Amino acid sequence: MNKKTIVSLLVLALVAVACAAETTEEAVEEVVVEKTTLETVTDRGFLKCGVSGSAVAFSETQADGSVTGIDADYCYAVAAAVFGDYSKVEFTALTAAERFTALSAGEVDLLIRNTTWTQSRDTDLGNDFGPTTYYDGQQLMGRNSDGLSGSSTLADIDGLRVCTNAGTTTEKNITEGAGLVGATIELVTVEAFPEAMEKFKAGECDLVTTDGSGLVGNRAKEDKMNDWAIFPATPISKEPLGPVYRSNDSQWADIVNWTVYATFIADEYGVTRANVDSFDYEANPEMGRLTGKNDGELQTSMGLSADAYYNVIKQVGNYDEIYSKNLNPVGLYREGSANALWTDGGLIYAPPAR
Amino acid sequence: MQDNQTLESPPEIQFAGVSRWLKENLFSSLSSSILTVLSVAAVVSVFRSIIGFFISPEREWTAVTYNLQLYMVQAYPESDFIRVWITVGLLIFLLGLSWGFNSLKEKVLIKEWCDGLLKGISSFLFIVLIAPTNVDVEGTSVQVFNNNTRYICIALGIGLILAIYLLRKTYPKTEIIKDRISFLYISLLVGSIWIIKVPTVTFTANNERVDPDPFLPLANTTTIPWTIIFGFMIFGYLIGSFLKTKGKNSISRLILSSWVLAPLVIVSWIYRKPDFGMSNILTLDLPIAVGFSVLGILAIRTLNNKKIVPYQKYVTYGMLVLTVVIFFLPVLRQLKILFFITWLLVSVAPTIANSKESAKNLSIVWSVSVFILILLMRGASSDSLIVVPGSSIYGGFTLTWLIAFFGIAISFPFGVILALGRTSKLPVIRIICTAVIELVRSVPFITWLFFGSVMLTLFLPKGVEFDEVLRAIVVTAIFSSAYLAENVRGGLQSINNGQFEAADAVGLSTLQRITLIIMPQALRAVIPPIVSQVISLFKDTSLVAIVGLFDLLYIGSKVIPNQSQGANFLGTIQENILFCAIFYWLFTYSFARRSMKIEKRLGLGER
Repeated sequence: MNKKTIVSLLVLALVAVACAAETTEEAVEEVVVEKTTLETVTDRGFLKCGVSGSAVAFSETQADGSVTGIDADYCYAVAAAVFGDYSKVEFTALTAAERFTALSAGEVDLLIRNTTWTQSRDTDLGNDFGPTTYYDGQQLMGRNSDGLSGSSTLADIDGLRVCTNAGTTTEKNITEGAGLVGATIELVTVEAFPEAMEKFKAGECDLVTTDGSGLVGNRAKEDKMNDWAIFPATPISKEPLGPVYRSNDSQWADIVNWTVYATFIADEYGVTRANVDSFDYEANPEMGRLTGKNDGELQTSMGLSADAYYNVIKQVGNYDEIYSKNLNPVGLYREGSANALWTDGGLIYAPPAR
Repeated sequence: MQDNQTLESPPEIQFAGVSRWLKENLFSSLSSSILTVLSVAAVVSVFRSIIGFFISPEREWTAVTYNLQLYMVQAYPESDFIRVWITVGLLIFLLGLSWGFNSLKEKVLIKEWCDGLLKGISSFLFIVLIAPTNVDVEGTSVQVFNNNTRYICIALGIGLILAIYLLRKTYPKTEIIKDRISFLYISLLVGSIWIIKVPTVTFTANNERVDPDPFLPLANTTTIPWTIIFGFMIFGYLIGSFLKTKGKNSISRLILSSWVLAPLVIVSWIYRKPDFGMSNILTLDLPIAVGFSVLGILAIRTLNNKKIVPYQKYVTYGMLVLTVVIFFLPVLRQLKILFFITWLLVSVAPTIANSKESAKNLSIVWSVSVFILILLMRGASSDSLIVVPGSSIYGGFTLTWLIAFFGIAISFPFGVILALGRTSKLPVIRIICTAVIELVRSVPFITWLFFGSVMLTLFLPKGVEFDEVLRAIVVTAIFSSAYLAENVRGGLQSINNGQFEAADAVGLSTLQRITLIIMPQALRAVIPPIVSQVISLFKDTSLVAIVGLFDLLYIGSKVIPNQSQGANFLGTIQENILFCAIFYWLFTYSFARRSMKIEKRLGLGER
């Protein structure tokens, strides 16, 4: 070896050492300490929320790419509680199949994807469910011309063809329900619900079944309020939909739960986006505590700012506002349903804020 | 004299010929006449119902027009649309450049062109003639096609036919450059976006949707950029044509490398809007770039020193060890990549740069590539300033294109390497390549996508995150390269052993034998299956919806039919699916046409 080789090898070695010695951003990244969800979210600067992105009234993607719907609004609400700015959300569109894996792998901090709360999902999958934000239930839709009406029961569907999407609990529920009353049905399964709807419109099936919210929306869209009937009045399944988060992080669970409860309580006392500033908090100490106007200790002890829930109501609204904005346009109203306030005979109920 | 004429051109088919043709081909006997009438009736009725389906008042085509932005770029913010236009403009400019450079300036007789036009206009007339006046909407008949419109269209069609016939008669022997015809069509298309009126969703002052949707001209934000981009295309074409007259090999290489570079520049700098920080570039990137280019030049010079030649091997091995060590050290990712390519340089430099001239060239190429690479990596590793509600800035058509383009671009070299590996004489390489190909091929694409999207995160250490889109691209590329490898292997097998022996006899090295003798022949033989592969990959991109990415088809089939807010397009599934189908067809069909032209140019299937 001559001098030049030695020199060039030396240069190489020097560069290598210099590079190795340099502490870089990546080096810091590799030391990951187990952080709480709240820390992860605040460090990142925005909330990662898992939604469907294509579920009517729950999380729709609009023409400009924005996400709307009741699920999306609760994502905005949690962001408003954590950051004081509802817009600090990044939505991740998740399919039904991958939603729970995405949550447990930490790809999303919160999953609000019209997910039904069931025992197995709550216990087996390492997830916990927050308070239900929408009580749904499976129903059937048929034509009045076939002698069906809103007061029909499952016994009336004997011998009819039913369209539904395959591989969901919907399919199981209708088979079990029809079996219980001794009705024989012909099940036509398709890949997704819009196709079931097309088949129903084309007359390839007599009935179509899915969650009541979906049926009402489609009936309103087709302008068939007087031609198509939705029944039975009491749904054949219970589908409580709400937020889902990872187990074993009670601080994050509290934040999400109380964000939902805050919208319920504000609805109960009639605090809206419009009057949240002018509301008389002296006269209502519970709202005063919740919004941090009188005393915000309850919020600060869970790691949020005192006015966290004030921001939720100011920027997103109370439960009634969220519900009406998203679900009224598709023909779903609160009156008389399980989604009315407990004072009106519904199931929307929050523990007291004290 | 007469003999001369017959030699020049075959006798022209006269109008009398038409009736003879009809008689010979369609009405030669009673049975064939019946068959002809029946099939014409069937075709007409099928076309009638298809046209009726399209123009029925039940179709809500505004669901497509109102959501075009969602279809193209999903949630990309409107304030940064200039970046999208720059992307499109750059690509179309390059398209024009390559077109101008590669064009053979083929000519076509005006007469032949007119014949083609006549066919097109006759089809248009046929559609106008058979279009249904009324369609059945839920039991009631609704008029959808005004008879006056029909007459106007027919008159227009006949007028055009006469004009073309006249043109045909006047210039029987004049030729026209094919490219000019293409430009005429494109400019007609661009001109039409200025005058065309499309059904548009509009809202009244109190936010109610106007019904029925009025027909309005396209917004300036669409027409002006497209017109400017058309200008870019012409500009590119002219530059390309000019460069062609220079006829240098290096220009062709330059155009090719700009095609490689452009997508990388787009994804790292243009589309992402990186938050790069000038200080990072000045204090970190510049010194690294200078350091590595000096290092590379030094290596090229020393390795060709006659005294060093015996030690070349050790330098290469040393560099390899260093690269591996660096890979596992906690240093900047940029450095890991740079060390890797330095190792590549050290291993190829002795063979490539064996003369002073080529050493100089290699040094220039090396320095330029190092600088470009560092800038690209800076753009790609900086945070994006584009804020979108979804997790990815790529969505819709952009995503479809991105996955298809990079999937193909990455899978091509990998496929070739895998194919060569599988046919290699070294058992280790052969077994590894065979195993990879068989493993990848025998598991469904959707399963791989799931693996990349859902399961990969569980295997990776916590905190290591890959972009969802990147994962989809990598999975697509790996999957496609396994299939491509088998296609290429088919081509390799078609090559006569004599070719290998001849290459050896001439004294070519293995690398030279593969790149100069074997590959050009093998790839030429497998163009049809490769094009099939490209088309199928382009369509397979729609499967990424399974992992929650919003590609073109997912937006059409799931997202828009579920919009209840604003304009309310609930249940508009047919319109959107049809739009997607037409969109996919346009692209895949043009790939197919393009490949047919390439095959023709290479004389494939003729020898």
